[in-house]
Amino acid sequence: MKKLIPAVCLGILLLLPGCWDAKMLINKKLVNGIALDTQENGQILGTVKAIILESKGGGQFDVKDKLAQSTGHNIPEIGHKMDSMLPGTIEANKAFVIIIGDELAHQGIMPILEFFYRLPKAYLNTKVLIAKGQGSDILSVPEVENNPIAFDIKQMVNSSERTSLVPSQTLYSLWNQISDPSEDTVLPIIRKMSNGALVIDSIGLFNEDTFTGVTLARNDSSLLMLLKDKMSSVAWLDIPLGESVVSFEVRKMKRSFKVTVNDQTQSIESKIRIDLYGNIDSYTGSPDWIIDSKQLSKELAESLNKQAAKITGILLKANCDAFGIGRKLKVSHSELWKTIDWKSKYPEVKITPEVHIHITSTGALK
Amino acid sequence: MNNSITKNQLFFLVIKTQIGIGLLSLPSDIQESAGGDAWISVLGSGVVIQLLILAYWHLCSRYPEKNLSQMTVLFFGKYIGRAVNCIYYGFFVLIAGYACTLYVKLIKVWLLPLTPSWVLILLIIVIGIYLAVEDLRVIARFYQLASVLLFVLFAMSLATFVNDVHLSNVLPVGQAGISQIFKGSGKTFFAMLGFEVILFFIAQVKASPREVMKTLTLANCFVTLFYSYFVFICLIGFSQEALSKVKEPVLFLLRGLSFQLFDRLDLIFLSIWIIPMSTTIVSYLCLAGKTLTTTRKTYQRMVRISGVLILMLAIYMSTRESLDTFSKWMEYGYLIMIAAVPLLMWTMSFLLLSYHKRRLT
Repeated sequence: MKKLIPAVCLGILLLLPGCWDAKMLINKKLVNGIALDTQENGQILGTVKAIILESKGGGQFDVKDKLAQSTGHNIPEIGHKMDSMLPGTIEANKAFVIIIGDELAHQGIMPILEFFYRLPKAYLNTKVLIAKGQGSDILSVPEVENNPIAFDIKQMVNSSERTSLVPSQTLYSLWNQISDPSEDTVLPIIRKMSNGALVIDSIGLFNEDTFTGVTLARNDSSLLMLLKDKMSSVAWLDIPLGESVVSFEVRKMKRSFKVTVNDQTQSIESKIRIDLYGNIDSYTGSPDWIIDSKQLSKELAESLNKQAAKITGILLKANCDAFGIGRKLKVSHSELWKTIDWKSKYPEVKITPEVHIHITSTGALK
Repeated sequence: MNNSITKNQLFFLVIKTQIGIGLLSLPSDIQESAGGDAWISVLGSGVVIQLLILAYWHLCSRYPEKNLSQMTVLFFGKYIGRAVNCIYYGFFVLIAGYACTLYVKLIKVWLLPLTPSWVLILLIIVIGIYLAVEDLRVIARFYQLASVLLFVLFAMSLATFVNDVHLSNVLPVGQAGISQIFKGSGKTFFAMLGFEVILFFIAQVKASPREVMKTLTLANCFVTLFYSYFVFICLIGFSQEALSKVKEPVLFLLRGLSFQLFDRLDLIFLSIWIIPMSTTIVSYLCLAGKTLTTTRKTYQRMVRISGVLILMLAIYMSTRESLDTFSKWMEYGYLIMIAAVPLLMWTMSFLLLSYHKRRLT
């Protein structure tokens, strides 16, 4: 008996599990990029790029993309229709990017994405992007040197994140931000340039889960990331100064973020001060190229202050609480927080940004 | 018969029985009532359990080397005592069956959606019986070994700090109000069940009562802190709205992580979590055997019979659509059995001690 039980257990263990849930890789159609757009009839147009592995013999594979399109009311419906179009079972659980067309994003993105959160198999590290125009146009860009386009897009997002141009957003982080009433989110925007190449160089502002249509271009978006204290390893700022442009590379930063409420008028005020430390990459403002650190940092700060004030103005107008002022308010003034409707109160908030520049290095030149 | 256990082994027996499937869904359950103060609820529940443990310990130290089923006979007489033991037996089987069902449901959702329930239940129970028929010492040693995994799980949970965490979700402390926190404590209590095993295992511990109490307190502190830590990281890792929608937040929390070498940490976590979940079932199998039998041979037979009962029960329950009414009913019934009955015996012990002493000697 003592020997029989383990033998039987081992037998069962070896034979049974996996019988039902075994899935062969060759039967799968792996989707690596999804684009979602609106359609005239209220349905959603889904475009996917699926990977096809073609054996070249000798254990080598050619990776090829295949494009498929169908319409439906939600993602699973689109997926089911697509499953009938493609050979193999469709698997959306390893998609690298989800691109949402701006029109669809304007109607709210959470109901569309719900499927991914509900599905235990789904991969939540997918990057979410907003497309300027149709998402399907982005995904159907011809591939470069046999590199699947979704990989390319993912790498573009990663490099933009590294230089603090766009926030690091995944499906996972997105849900927590959007469902939190005390903060609003921003998402990277991808667009197609006139020569057909793709570019990610701006961010779109969200009000709860709807895309406001307001975008911040390159320089503004970098500065917003810095004001949000979301610098990754480095941030590049190209600051126009007179005729020339000064390139400043931020290496380190400090932020102080305060929210105060006036007791009498109940008006909310927020002060954001950032101290940027970094080096000058290029300066041709003076004829001899020599930098007067003190003078230059003052001029740069002045220019950035103006730019920051413009950005906060845009945020207030778009009703996008990207800084999480609501979150601060909730903690420090919880009584007030309970009584106000934050979304209607936010545009009246006074935000005072303050930028300070500290030049730590001017490179190999003086 | 040399089947005593050391106080260290008692520690692991208690924590491994307590830590189980309940933790995975706990944060969203308590958050419903206690909001951002859910972690305080867990601590509150730990205090209540500590008081119960104190009563258990006092009772057991008055009747050394007697476990609960022997005590009931002593207190209530032969017939009523046995009847009470039968009720205990029924509850242990029910709890094991219920835990098994939840466990299989979870595995079906996350890992093996197409595998039939009965296969999974069979695998769990056969392996459970295999361990439970052994001496308590063997079981304890296995628990001790398997506890290493708790540290692995803890280390994995540290990775969630890579995500955005917002301490502001739990601030200001005490926002939910005392009554809501207590309500949350009530819910936590049921997720922390399992400490009642000490009523059976204390009798076999070879240590002074003082040391036993120290061990039990330590075990309770460990479990309470472990639980409140996990609740806490869920509270700061999720927005309130998201947390209230997720079924197993502890697993979901790991879904957002991705490393060069590892992906889908949640599935790795769950695969390891299977072991703490199984040990809970082993403990209840062991208790089921101990309530009705005294000799080793009958104990082994009883464990096997209980195993078959649990198997049938779990297969039946896994076909049911909803277990809500059943679980409510069972929780309150069980509360009477592990809180009211031992407390009654404890108060009776003040009156009856001298009488029992005369009879026992």
